[in-house]
Amino acid sequence: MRIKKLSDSGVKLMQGNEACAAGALAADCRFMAGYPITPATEIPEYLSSRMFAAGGVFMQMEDELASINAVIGASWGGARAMTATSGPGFTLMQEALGYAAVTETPLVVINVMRGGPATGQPTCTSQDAVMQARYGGHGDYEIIALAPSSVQEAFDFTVRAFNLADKYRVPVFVLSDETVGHTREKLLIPESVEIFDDEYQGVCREYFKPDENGVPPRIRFFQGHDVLVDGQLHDQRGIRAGTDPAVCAQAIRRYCGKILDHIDDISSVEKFFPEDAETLVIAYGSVSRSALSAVRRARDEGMKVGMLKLNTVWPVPEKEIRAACAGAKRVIVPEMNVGEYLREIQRIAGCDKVQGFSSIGGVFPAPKAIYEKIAEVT
Amino acid sequence: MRKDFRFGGAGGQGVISLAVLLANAYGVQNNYEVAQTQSYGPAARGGACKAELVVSDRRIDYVKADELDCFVAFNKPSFDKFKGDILPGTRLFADSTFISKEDVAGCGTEKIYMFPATRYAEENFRAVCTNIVMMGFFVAKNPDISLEDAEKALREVMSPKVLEMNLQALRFGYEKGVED
Repeated sequence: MRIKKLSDSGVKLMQGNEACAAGALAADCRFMAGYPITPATEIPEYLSSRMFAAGGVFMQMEDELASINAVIGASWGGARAMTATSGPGFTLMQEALGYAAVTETPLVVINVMRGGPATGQPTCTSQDAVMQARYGGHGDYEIIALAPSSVQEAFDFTVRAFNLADKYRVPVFVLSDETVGHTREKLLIPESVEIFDDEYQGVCREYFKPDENGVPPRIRFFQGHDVLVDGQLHDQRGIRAGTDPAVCAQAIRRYCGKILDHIDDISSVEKFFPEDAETLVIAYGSVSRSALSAVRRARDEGMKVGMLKLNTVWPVPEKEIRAACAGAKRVIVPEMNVGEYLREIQRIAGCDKVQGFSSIGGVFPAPKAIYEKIAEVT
Repeated sequence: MRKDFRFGGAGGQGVISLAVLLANAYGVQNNYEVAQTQSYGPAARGGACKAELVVSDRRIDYVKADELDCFVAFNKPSFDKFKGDILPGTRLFADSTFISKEDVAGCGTEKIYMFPATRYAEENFRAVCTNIVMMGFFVAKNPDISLEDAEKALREVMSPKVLEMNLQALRFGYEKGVED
């Protein structure tokens, strides 16, 4: 990691979307390609007017397919690169995101989630893409996804997303939502940020040969490496090997293993009142703030309630979830979908103990609704 | 301490700008935590648009306005749309250019300020300053924020071309609030 000083440090009033964009610039992102979509549009709007001054490139593309493919190209070209989208735009990107995973292309996608399915509810908040982020493309691969709940986290998690993308050579998703994206709060821009330093100096013929950590060195175009990048499964030189079962199996295991073997490094959670919780609430993103408000109220009234907030949702922070659930008699998972991440918690802690609390139709759950659920089961 | 404010009016009356300026005054010029949200999309352009601001001396969990401390209404459609959330403790700021005493009678609170912000803005400045005249009045009635912090927020956010007129509008509303 190298330390980068920021010239615009200080307290600012910003929307979550603007904070993602500011975080991207702070993290040395120098390429954005995107197509405007509600409720993510403030991100390209912000970067369109600032990227050139930062020495980067902003391109408004003809659609989301072109956007994500341009981002893949820019990443191989050597830039930290990103796009921002929502709902149907994210759906359109899935094929290329699988390609990015298999070609081990570092990139960041900020998904400001809105109500689905299809065109759905463009202006309404939701957590519609939690499973899609993980399983959107075909085949087996792992990705990383972070879920900010505030303007500060929108900035901080975006910076971290770029570092994780480079460190693990993988697409990283920032799963924001309309509530985070359009809430204005105070953002403290720090005096410096850490930037993952992955400059590769050697001459390489095996661009997909992993280091000890399972991740190949960060090779870029135009550095004399004679790079071959292919979406078909390939050997360590990048040469197609689609009919070689051993090479392909090894490649697939590595796409998964390089993430799953480093869950401890990637995972981030926050625990609230873990000491005596008989009822545990597990939440992520904007919903976690309503949930925390409800948990505090329930505790004020003497209920033994605790909370686990997931800052990273993929890979699943399984160890932390298992430990938190172990002491609890019951677990509630509030989400703005019909219960997507609920299945992961049920897989870990058992279906008997875990129940969802679903808020759909564009309704951001108020603390009162979650409190009533806590009171009902406690 | 947590205070929940809602601002209602027609799209274009400066409802969202007012909430953003107050968020700046409370949060950036002062040391409060703030969370500011608003109507979005077509709703922000209709006859009953809203913006909300939560201020607190502690970390804010729930970012939307919950139990209203203040409700500022700039027109009747927005007053009618959101009056169901008025509590006995809510202070209502009604722009009496468009909202009458009969309209607000029996709305659930006795703490009502009838303040003709639009008329004052039109007579003394320009109609576009309505929200800033109301802001001055609001600041006078909320002692946890000072006129000075409100002025600083305007200076930070507004272009120099319109700043002076808006500062005057702010002070005008503030003085009316002090006299009231």
